[in-house]
Amino acid sequence: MAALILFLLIVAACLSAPLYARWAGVDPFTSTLDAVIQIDGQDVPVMEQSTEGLGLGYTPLGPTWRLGNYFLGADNQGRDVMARLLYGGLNSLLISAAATVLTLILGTSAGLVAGYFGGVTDTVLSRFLDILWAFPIYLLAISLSIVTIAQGISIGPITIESGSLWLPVIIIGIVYVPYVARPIRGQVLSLRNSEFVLAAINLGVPGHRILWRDILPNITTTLIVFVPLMMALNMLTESALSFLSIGVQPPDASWGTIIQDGQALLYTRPIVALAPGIAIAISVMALNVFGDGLRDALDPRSKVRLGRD
Amino acid sequence: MSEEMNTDQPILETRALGKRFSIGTRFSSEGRRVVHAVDNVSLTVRRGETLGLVGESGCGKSTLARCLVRLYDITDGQLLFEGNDVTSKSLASLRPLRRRLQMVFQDPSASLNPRRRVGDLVAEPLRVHTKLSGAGIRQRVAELFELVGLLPDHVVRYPHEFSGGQRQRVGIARAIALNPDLVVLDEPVSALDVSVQAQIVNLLADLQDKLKLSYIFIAHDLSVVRQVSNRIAVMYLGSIVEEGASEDVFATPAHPYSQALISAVPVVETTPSGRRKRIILSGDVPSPLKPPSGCRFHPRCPVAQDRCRTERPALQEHKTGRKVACHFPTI
Repeated sequence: MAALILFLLIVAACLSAPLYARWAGVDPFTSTLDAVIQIDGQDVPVMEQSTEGLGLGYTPLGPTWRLGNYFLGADNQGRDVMARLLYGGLNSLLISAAATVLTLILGTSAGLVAGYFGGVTDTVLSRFLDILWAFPIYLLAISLSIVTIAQGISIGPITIESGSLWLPVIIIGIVYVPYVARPIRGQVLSLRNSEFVLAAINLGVPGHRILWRDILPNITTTLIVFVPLMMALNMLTESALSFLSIGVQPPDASWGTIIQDGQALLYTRPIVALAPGIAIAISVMALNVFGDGLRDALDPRSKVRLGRD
Repeated sequence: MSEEMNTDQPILETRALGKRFSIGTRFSSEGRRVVHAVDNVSLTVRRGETLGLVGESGCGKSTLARCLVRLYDITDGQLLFEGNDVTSKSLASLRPLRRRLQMVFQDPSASLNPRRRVGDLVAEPLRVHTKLSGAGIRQRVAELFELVGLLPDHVVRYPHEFSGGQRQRVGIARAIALNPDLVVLDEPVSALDVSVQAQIVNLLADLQDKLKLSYIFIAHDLSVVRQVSNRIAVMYLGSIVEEGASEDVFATPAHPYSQALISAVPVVETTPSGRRKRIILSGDVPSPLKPPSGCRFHPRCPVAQDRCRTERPALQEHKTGRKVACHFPTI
């Protein structure tokens, strides 16, 4: 429960990103190399000529720890890291949530159909999923991203432009389909032979109605448990892709892209990479802990342990 | 033609019906093996009667029941419903038949979807097969609930909120929702307490009178079968070994297996001199994977002779209405 509250706090913070940006008066998407802000009555430039080493390049402003602006300092284009962190978090959360929905819809449909109808349908669907399954997740995701990143996707009337956030959603949504479809198919296979399904067949209930009315309600607990766990996985995958610049495209931000921005500043301004890293770690951990708790709460065996029917 | 119009035409008939299951693949250690779960079963059920089907656990009773309602595909022989061959009809073309041929399952807690309200479960066949409106369905469900002895406000409950007997009443309500002609009862009372068994058996008898139902009543409890059946068939290892009118078979069982089964029914001893001889069978039921040669009962039969080991007896009519599959029947 604490994990859920922690995660909801992160979500709330990210949702308030535009509020922070307006309040702090910063634009997180355009570079402001020559901006000057006031700290304690003194004018401070957000970028300073570097004095270390050979004296080349600029070092962005460090954390001011003032809620006004540049709370976490600036990045190498003079943009407010805090504002970017919140906006990036919003993208990370949206992408992982949308990809979770997509994975669950595709995976559940495939698992239901393969498990219920069996035979050739099952063989074809399962072998196709096995092919997806055979690729390492990141290899498949990276390949798909590289193929689609330049031109986007255009299938029939549906066109997704190359910079769109839908691109990572679809890629992440697809690569995890076998991980959902397999356990669902297994459950459907055993439900398929349960007496209440036989009873429905005996009543002459059509197959699609049995799937929808009899089988689906009996796998909803599994699906509910999948949601936070899938979301945590998707968040990690999204960050990885964005870090490799094949996920979210600039000027949009996500936690992955901010880490990449921070990579060059690791020695002088480590906070730029650390802040989104910590945000990812906390969110993923909160989701996993919540998912485990949910599983324990919904598992029918644990109900028996509590002495309920 | 005249036979087709005969009112005595059986409602359900099986001709040498068989069900084989394949076990394993050709890659498994013992290769691909075939189990004859049901073998050469020829039965007839007449309109309005109850045919009892008895046998030990694992003798193929439930498999036969599921073949009769075409939940399993039949691999051998024929299944006729009112003279029409329905052995290999597709699932979709069976749908009209489902209205008239229903089944009650053994374990009501397994055969009722735990996630749906019982009113919804009983309404399901009405929604699929009839064009009744929502109000019409609710009214019919209320009627059915009353008919099986449940209260109208029970419709909103979930199956787990009922006792075993009440759950079986829901299962029965669902089976009779479409006014079927024949109901296959697969051990409908075996999962229930003895006191509740009697209530359900009485309910089934009442419904039979009211709705002019025919039953196939499957059980391993002979005293229950005796009470409800007009005729009974005794099953051993997938085949029928004896068939006849209920009183006849119970009074003078002709097959050694029936004799052993019937001698095992506990009775209240009224006079000490009236003690019956208890026949105790030795050994276990042989595996249907490797059925014995000749008569399948010979390894356990107290009167088996050499002929039984080599020659399989056919189910023959020895007296009017009495069929026995034995070389040495006691009638």
